[in-house]
Amino acid sequence: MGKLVGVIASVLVGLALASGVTFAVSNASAPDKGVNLDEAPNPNNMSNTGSGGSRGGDGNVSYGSTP
Amino acid sequence: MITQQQARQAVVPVVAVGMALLVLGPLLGRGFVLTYDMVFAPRQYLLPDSFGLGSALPRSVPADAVVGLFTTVIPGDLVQQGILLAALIAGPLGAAHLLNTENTAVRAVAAVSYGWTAYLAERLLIGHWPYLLAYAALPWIVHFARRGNLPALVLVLVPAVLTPTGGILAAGTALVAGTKKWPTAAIALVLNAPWWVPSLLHPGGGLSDASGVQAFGATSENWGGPIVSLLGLGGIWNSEVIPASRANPIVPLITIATVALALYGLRKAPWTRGITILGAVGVLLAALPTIPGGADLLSWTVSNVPGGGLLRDSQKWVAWWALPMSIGVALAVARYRSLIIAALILPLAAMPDFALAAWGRLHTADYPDDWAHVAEILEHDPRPGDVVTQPFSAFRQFGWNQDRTQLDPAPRFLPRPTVIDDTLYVNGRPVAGEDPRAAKVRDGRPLGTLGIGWVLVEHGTPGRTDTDGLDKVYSGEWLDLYRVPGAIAAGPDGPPRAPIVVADLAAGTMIVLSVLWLALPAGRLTLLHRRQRE
Repeated sequence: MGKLVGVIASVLVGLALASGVTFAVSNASAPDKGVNLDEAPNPNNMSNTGSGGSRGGDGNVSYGSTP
Repeated sequence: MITQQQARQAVVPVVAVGMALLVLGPLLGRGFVLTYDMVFAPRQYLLPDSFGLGSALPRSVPADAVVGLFTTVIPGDLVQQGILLAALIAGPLGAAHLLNTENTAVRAVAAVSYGWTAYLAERLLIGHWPYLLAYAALPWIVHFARRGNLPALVLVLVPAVLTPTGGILAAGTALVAGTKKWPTAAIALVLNAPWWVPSLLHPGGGLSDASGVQAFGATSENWGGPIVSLLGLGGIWNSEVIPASRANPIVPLITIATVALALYGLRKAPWTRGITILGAVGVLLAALPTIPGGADLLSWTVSNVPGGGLLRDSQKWVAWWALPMSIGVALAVARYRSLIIAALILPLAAMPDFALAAWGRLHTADYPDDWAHVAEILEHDPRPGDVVTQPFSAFRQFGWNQDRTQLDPAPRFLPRPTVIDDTLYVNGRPVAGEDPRAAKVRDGRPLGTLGIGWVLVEHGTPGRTDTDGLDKVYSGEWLDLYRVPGAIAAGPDGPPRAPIVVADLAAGTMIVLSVLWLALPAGRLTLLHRRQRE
């Protein structure tokens, strides 16, 4: 039983060491892969689109996104 | 000369400090880490909102008041770094301290298991620093609650009760682990009063938008699904703050193996039964939006029960699961010593991108000088009125902060109450806020009638601005400040002051009395007597 647990642990550690670093490095090498350059929001000092009526709502920064 | 025993005693503190420095090292020095909900300012003013007396729901009460007090004597960036370091060091130390063993390696396993988790990584990246403090306090709460040492319990509860969520996490843990249930319940009630009293008295009634249940529900990080993600202490709603390594196909296997090992270890430790059941409740609460009927139940609760909005960001409750997991793993490796090395390496190997400021995803920034200039004007100008910010939205992506998403810093930087839109956008869809004054600003009501005398326009961040009819007072590269012309009405009444002052005084008195009890001879002699009996 002890040996089996040890073997499983060794395999998991080996796989985690190899793949964990790979995943982390691949993310670091392409940090902007999620950025949509085609529809990038304009900073407001570049396009001031003031108008009357209600305030807020358009082009606001998102709190986050779900998968 | 260091003795062998001293060297052994130093191992766990060195491990805890080492892990904290491995994460936070690149962020130490001057400058602010501004990420999502984490906003610190050089000096945070003590305003009505800091105590829950404003029109916004007291989500960051009394955290804002405490940070305000600290930043009157210590620069805000140093306060921030101190808090983060303390949170990442104290948690692992506490987990190791809970184990009744002389085996240093086993204690180190508990420290690493508790100090290197997806929960810490994700909550750090989303900027929920009060949750990190609460997480760090949990093992210490268990320690002192089990011993029935109520004055010490009060003091270790303090870092956790800075926000409603932290307060509930801490109170639940203390009640489950405590030997003196009623006194513990009374302590939890009084220490949490600074946020629950203003929450109950909030003019908005404390109800929230039910669409937040879907937006902020726990998610799946890999093929294992949401439940396995939660059992592995991850599964936060926001995919932008999940470390890339959590998508590794091996992570679910590691999670299942670790849970099995932990449950095996917990089997022969009856004292862990309470915290294990609490951990399971935490996982169940977190998973509720993902199981049939759960989302409907939560939606009803959020929109009908005052304060039910606390349940929307469901993953935060798995903090309760972290402690039985780490203690269980440590108890299991105490039996299977051959697993000690694996248990020490596995958490770091599986999530290496928590290291080095979350693999470079966190960094420090300095506020442009415009912020200090505007704060100075608003501090010294005698003309009345609160401030509203534009773009009228909660979050910013400033060029000076490398376009990273962050909460609008104005309410914490400026010396006057500041209204921001508390509508949150997730996947581009709005989740309505609870601030009635923000709703009136959004509807286009004249600002002067709402008690707003100033408009701060923040540049270099997405969102539209509207300054028609306003008088410019200050113009800078990143900020413009405008004066609202005409008469400015008094600000709206927040919750009644008297009950909130009583709540704050009661909590403060309890903390001071606990410090005195532990510091003065009477209390120290009682503790000594108790230790001798043990």
